[in-house]
Amino acid sequence: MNNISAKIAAISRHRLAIDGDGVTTLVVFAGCPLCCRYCLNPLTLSPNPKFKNLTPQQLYEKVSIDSLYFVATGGGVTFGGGEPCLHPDFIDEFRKLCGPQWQIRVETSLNIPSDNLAKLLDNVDQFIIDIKDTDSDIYSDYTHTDNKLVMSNLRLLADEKFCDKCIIRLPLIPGYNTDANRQSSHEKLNILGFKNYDYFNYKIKENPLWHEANKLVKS
Amino acid sequence: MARGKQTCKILKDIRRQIAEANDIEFITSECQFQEDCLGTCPKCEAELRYLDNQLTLRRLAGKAIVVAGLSAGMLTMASCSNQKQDADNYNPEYDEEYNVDVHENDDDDFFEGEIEGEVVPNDDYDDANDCDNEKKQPITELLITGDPDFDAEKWELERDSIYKANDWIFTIDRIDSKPEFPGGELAMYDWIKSNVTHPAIIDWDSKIDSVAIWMDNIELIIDKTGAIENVNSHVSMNPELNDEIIKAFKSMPVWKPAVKDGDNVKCSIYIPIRYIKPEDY
Repeated sequence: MNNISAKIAAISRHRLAIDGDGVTTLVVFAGCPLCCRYCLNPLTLSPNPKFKNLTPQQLYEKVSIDSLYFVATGGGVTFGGGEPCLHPDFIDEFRKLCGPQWQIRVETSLNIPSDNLAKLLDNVDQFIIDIKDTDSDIYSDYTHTDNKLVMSNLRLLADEKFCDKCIIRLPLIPGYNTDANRQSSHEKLNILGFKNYDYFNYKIKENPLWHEANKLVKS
Repeated sequence: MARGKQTCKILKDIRRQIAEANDIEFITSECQFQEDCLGTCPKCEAELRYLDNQLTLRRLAGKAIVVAGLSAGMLTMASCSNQKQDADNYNPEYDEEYNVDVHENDDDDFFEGEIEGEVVPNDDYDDANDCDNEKKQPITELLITGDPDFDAEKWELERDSIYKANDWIFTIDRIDSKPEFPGGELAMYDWIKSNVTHPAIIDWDSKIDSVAIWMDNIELIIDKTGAIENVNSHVSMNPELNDEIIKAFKSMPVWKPAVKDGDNVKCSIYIPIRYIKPEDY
């Protein structure tokens, strides 16, 4: 496929053990299927015309400056967003260019078509999954989207024996879930076989798009 | 130690390890720059390229080179194994760093992402400037955030003026008065209901938790006359539906345009919509 490209909102170099082990470069895709209330990057929710459209080759040329750091530290490129898993063909092409020595990671909500996930399995070394909460009511209140795809995709990862390659992020979402909810999510995912968890707190930064959407939901 | 200095030190240690493992003379000097930095500078980048070149020469000469995993374990992402992270181990800085804060950038050249506390590479990067022995911020081609001399107010005025002169798109947060559909928001949604006819897909009334739905934010570019210049839908899960929505939105009546400092300006706005998930998805 020679016509693959994607809108890239930002590239952040020299991230040290923030987006996976080692030195990583974070590549932020534009576009996300969710509309989260505290989304830190609401501009990535749309294909802002000012975001640069890059091919995998162009991206590779920009990030390969840090190849030595990646290879020496077990780092690489982490795709975030937005939702990186909306771009499996782009990541596939990128993997062909960078080879197996760079670690490719994705920071994802997993609220994506299962076909996309299946395509990514061969190319992604680690999935960093922000599940929000496994409780469907909490999830839909916070994101205005249901979490059925998330749960089915988690099962797919477990079936494909990818649990060791996943870090499950369990956020405390102010006003939406509690520590007990997080513990409940943790227990559900333990049953599936996931082993690596990251507890953290969301920063409160209101996303105006969520509020617009909320007016519709309440109407 | 400030974050930038710490990043600089770690990267230098990695370079030193690579040089030592490959018997490359590693010529460096202690950085004399007194203030916090961005974690890299032209001198750091030049050292990296020097190493890369030396390794290439060794590879071409048939020598074995050692890089893979040399510094593995030096930087490990914090996560806990099958247990809840202890509150005592919680690192608030980690939360600060985890996400990239993406802002709109008015530089046409490239990086649209201005990244808090991070370094954005520039296409025309060069290593002409060396921060060693300089007590001031090194002059580089890198986009630097947090410049103490940066006059945000002046910059915004200049920016708005450039935007108007070039008829570029203002975002909603930078205008004085939003563009308005004739008759207001409710009239707009009535119009959408009447004009998006995709069968059994658009769903305006059901409760969010009772149906499988998908959210989308339709971006409208409304020019300074109020006409719809462009429509973007970023969730391309169903091309047929996307086409239908885009076609309908493009046929919208003329809006009351956005206003900035008394002038009509081109503006982008987002219209949130939701619809039942297509069956083939």
